[in-house]
Amino acid sequence: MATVPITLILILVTILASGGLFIVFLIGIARIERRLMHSRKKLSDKVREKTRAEAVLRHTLNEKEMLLREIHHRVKNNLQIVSSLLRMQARRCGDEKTRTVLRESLTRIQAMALIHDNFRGADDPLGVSVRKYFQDLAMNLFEIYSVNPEALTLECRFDDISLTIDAATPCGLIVNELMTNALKHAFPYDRRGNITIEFTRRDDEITLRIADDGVGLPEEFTPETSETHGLMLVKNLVENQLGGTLEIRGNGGAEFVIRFREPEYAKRI
Amino acid sequence: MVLEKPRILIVEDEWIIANDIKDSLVEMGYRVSGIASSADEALAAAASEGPDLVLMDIVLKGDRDGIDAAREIHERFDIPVIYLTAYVNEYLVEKAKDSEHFGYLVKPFRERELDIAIRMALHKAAKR
Repeated sequence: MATVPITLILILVTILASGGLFIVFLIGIARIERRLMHSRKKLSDKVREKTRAEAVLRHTLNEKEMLLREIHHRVKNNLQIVSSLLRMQARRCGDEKTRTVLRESLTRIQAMALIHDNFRGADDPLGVSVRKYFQDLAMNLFEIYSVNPEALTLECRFDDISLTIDAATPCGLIVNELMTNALKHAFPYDRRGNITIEFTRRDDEITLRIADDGVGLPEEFTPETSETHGLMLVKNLVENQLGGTLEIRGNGGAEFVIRFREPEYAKRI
Repeated sequence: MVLEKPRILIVEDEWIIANDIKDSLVEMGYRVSGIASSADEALAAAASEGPDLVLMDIVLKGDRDGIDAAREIHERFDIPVIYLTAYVNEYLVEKAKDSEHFGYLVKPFRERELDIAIRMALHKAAKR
């Protein structure tokens, strides 16, 4: 028997052993790869499923946003029709007192209609921008009461606040009543002056301040003793609707300060 | 010389709103040549009455909207048109942009805004 050098045997054994190990290693790699491919497929199935679900959600959200806009549009349109009816009736009315009542009703309806005009949309579905809404409201009243902008100026100071419709509606009516009051009574005989509207927020307390530098309020004035229905409406809206407080100062003009915490949106349905 | 009051055609499919606009226009010193509630009625009224200006609501009854009607009124009669709309929709704004028009008012508008828009449109149309 031919002798094989021990070194050669060792080399052969090593090659065979490492070849076997290599094959085992390759089989392991193939298994891992198969598992990886399986996981990747499962993952891509999940991603596809999620993308599809997201698209459905986005579509539903768009549809809801469109419906919400449509409802706001319809409400605004209906309130505009009521406004037109009142304006037409006021124009044809011979009696000044009745005309005043119709005009006051008209401004109240317009105060509410403007809310639907200033509704912010999908990024803030319940929000009404305070700055734009109250500026529009004030300008509307200036036009209805034919205010001479050179004699009477309007000063607005608004924090960047958006209110829910539940808070914006009473606030709009309150500003409407107090500004109407100022325009009707505070500046007789073309008296020059200024009306200020402020809307500020500190923590969760909102302060609404309406002031004028007109003739001021009668001594010992209270909403209860006031002859106008408007101020009782303001008091009731502040206390019963907003759960807030009303402070009245009447020296050197009139000042109304309303403080409230924004009510949480109450689901109606 | 007494200048004739401009005659305006109102195209609006809400009868009450159309009549409110009519009252406002008369108060402002304009004459109203008529009220139409659809594109076809608007075209017929533009042909028969020859108004100086048309106030055109964009959303109208029928197949054609106010933009289609305005385009035809401009092409056939060369009458200036101001659009009125309650709905600021990107598609409508883009469509309106492509048509020849003399103003775009978003409802509810103030009487003064309407008056200024009409005066500017009439002035612009007269200068052509």
